[in-house]
Amino acid sequence: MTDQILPNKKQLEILKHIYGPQIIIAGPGTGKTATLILKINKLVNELKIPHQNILALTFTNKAVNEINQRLGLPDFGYTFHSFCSYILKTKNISYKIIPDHQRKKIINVISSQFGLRFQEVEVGISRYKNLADYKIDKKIILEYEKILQKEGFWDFDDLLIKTYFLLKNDDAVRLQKLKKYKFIFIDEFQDTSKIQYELIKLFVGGSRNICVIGDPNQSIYSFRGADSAIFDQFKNDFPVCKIFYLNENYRNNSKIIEIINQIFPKQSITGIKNDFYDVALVNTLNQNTQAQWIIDFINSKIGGVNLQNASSTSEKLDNNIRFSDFAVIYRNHEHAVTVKKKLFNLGAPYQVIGEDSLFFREETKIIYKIIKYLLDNNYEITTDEINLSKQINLDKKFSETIPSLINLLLSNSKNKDEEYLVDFGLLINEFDHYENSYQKFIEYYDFMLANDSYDEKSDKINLLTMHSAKGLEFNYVFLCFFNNGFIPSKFETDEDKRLFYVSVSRAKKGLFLISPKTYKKRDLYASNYKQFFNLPDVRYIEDENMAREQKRINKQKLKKSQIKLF
Amino acid sequence: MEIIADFHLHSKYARATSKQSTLENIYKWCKIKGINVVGTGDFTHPLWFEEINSKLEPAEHGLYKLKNIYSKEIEEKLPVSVKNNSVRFILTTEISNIYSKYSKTRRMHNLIIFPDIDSVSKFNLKLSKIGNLKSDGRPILGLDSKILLKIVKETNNKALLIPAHIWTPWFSMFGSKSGFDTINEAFEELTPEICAIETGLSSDPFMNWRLSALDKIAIISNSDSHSVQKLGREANIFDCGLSYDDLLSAIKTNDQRLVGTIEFFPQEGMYHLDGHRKCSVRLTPAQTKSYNNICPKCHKDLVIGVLNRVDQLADRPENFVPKSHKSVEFLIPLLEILSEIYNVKNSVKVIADYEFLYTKFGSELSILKNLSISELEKCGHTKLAHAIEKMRKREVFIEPGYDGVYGVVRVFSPGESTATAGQLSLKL
Repeated sequence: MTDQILPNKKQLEILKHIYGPQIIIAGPGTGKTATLILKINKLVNELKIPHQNILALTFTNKAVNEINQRLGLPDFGYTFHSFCSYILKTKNISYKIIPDHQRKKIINVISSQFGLRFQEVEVGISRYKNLADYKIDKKIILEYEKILQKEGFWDFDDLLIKTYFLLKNDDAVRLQKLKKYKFIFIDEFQDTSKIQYELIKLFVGGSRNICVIGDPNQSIYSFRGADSAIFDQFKNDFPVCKIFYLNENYRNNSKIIEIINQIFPKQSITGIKNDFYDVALVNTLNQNTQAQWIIDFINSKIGGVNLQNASSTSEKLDNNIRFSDFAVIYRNHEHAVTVKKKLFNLGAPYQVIGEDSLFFREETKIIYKIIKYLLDNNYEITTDEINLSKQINLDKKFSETIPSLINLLLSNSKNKDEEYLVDFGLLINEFDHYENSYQKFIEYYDFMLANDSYDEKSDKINLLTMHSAKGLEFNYVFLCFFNNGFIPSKFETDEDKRLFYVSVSRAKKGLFLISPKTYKKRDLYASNYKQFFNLPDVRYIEDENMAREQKRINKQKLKKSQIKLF
Repeated sequence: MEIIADFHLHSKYARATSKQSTLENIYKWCKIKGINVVGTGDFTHPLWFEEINSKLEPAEHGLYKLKNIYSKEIEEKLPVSVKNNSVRFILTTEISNIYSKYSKTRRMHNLIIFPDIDSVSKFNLKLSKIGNLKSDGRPILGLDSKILLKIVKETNNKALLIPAHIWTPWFSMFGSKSGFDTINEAFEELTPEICAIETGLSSDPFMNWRLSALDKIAIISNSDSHSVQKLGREANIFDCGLSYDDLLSAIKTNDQRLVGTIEFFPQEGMYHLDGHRKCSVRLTPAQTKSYNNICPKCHKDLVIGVLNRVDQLADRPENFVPKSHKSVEFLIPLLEILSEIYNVKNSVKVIADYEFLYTKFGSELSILKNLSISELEKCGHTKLAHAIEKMRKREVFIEPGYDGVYGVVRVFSPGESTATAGQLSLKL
């Protein structure tokens, strides 16, 4: 939510246009939701249109809640999915949605069967179902559908498809609905898939009162079949549509806006906030120093989470700050393992936004289950897992046991995602330091299971992937691994650029792009996106901890080589 | 019966605490010190809570005692003089709340007391969803103190939340760098639930009496100790029955059952005066004012200490004493007095003498508070007798603490102690 209070000129103009198809192109922080609210308010309060005759669709439950709350209408907005389930309910059609872990299991089996990666298959299926072009053999998709049907489940894409065909083939239902909705709004239009769009088109009545809001530059869900070309299609379908541009940004300070404009020069956003800002490129050594830099920064802003560093940082204090004002953003969850570990040790509250946490993965859970079983034989695990456990001896050091267990798992099956296990191994290898490292590990895992999930109301430091960042805003944003191969990815696609654009525009007061020099013994290079930061006032920071960390690593290496010698 | 109670301390699971802070050692030192009711501390920490569960058992209503299998061994090694001092545990913890309210960052520490293990389990479960309880015995939560109070009361209406060391600059209700100006700002409509405040080492009841807003509120004192030797350096004296309800109702009503407090000389606390540790600048409130709150050395904001902050919020003059008030006793830990007499720190000799003294005369607090000076003199401890007499009369020499530096309190003037230490040492 941006800090806008009264409608600006552009919004007033938009408000004058009530009828007919409209596109509103709205850059980040330009009051997209506020405009939507203003329009709906006008319809309901001034033109006395019953709100039951207005359909507002948006992308996430969070956005729906925000709209409902600001309008004071508890059951008003829908996501595409909740809208479909509503329609199916009115038609008395019952269905069961497949639980996510079960769906992943099926895809896992199929991908190993066809010798493909899990992600390829998952994305392929979803793109196919959303009427986008897909890159996998249709046989694979049919196999997936067969299993799904046999088990009597739908997946979320089915919800859309079934609703669409039901309405398309059933004129009576359609007509009845058409009468009901006199005005239609679609928020985050750039992330609307073709099937979603086709579905809504069925509801557009003769007066063609459809208004779509979005930002083509923020389209980051192509893997789900969304495509910013959807705007062009809209223009084709509704050639008389009016197009408005919102470009007055209320969220970011003007320095960040300058950068945003460098990324997409055609769309020029103007800022009105000129208060304190801080944009910096930070060079650091590795994951460790990257995480430490972030933590030191948070400490210095919030006043030290403990006494030891409270008074030493007083001059940098932000006098109005809370934990939830900070966001650590990264490309994949694997990139955040060290940050998580350090935050855990510090005792500062944090949460991970979005799914796919390492701790929820089947692969890592097996490790947890086996160790837990070895500590307590009453704990129930499968026979397969018991067999594995027989090859493990907890009298050995933690740092020996875990790698051998991971190797066992890797050799046992082909469909496991190797990277997750290796990352996980790295994350936990330091448990050796504890007296009862196995017990500590179980506790840590339990904690992660409970905390690696997002509660938007809670006051915690946020950890999230770039893909989960859309629609959110934070005072201070740290972007991890600002390096080629990460940001942007090695393919350097347009979507990389848009993803970067979305991530950067989350920051209200401070933006820190951190570039380590190494990751898992690989050398890293600075990001090509550095070019967007050739502006005065951007700070260049050399992390002070680099030398110390390098010393520590050299010492370790020396130790290792000495061990080898003897 | 007279009960000496210390509610606020930390276990070995808290940051920067001694590994020796186990339940057994707490028990042992309470006997030596003469503390009858002691907080468990840190009950939010899962491992510590497990120890509480397995090593303690219910005693008088709402209080717990160390199981026989653990206590027997300790008692066997203790001298008769302190062995039979009764020691009960009461379930307590401290929470660090860091949040933003009225557009300002707030950092506040709160002491929480619960009447039973079941409620603590429920409470811990609720908090575990809000933050990480496993890394520190004093967990950090991004939670408004008022909401914490609400959770406490919803879990068990008999439980109590007490704002901790309310004057320290960085982490407290009235702290100059972190806090509020009134209890009402912090707790709003729940303010009536706040029936006690903790003075902290750097303030004493005299300073707190200067705020009429605190007139109806119990002023309590605890050690907040991070090592067992420091237990009871501040504590509360009750005259009531031995049970949770008796103790808590004494606090809530603030009646004569809460007799008074045992105090550190507040100047010894590490935030008494203003200043900058790094610049070695120590200033009185008046001096700070003349420098406009700016450090004369580095020209950055000074860390405003407790004395100054009290001055800012007080509506009564210095040295104000209410017509009727609780007893206040200023004590210096016996080990410190002995160290001063020998002019050494915690040496073998000091510890040996310490052991000798409690073996002969009973618990440390009874020696400091009650033992007659003539009795000490009679036994040949002339110098110690002199020291304790001076302490009781509050005739001490003080170098006040500031910005994280502990103050130094000496019984003897610098010349007096060093020159004569050898000749007047204890004859043991």
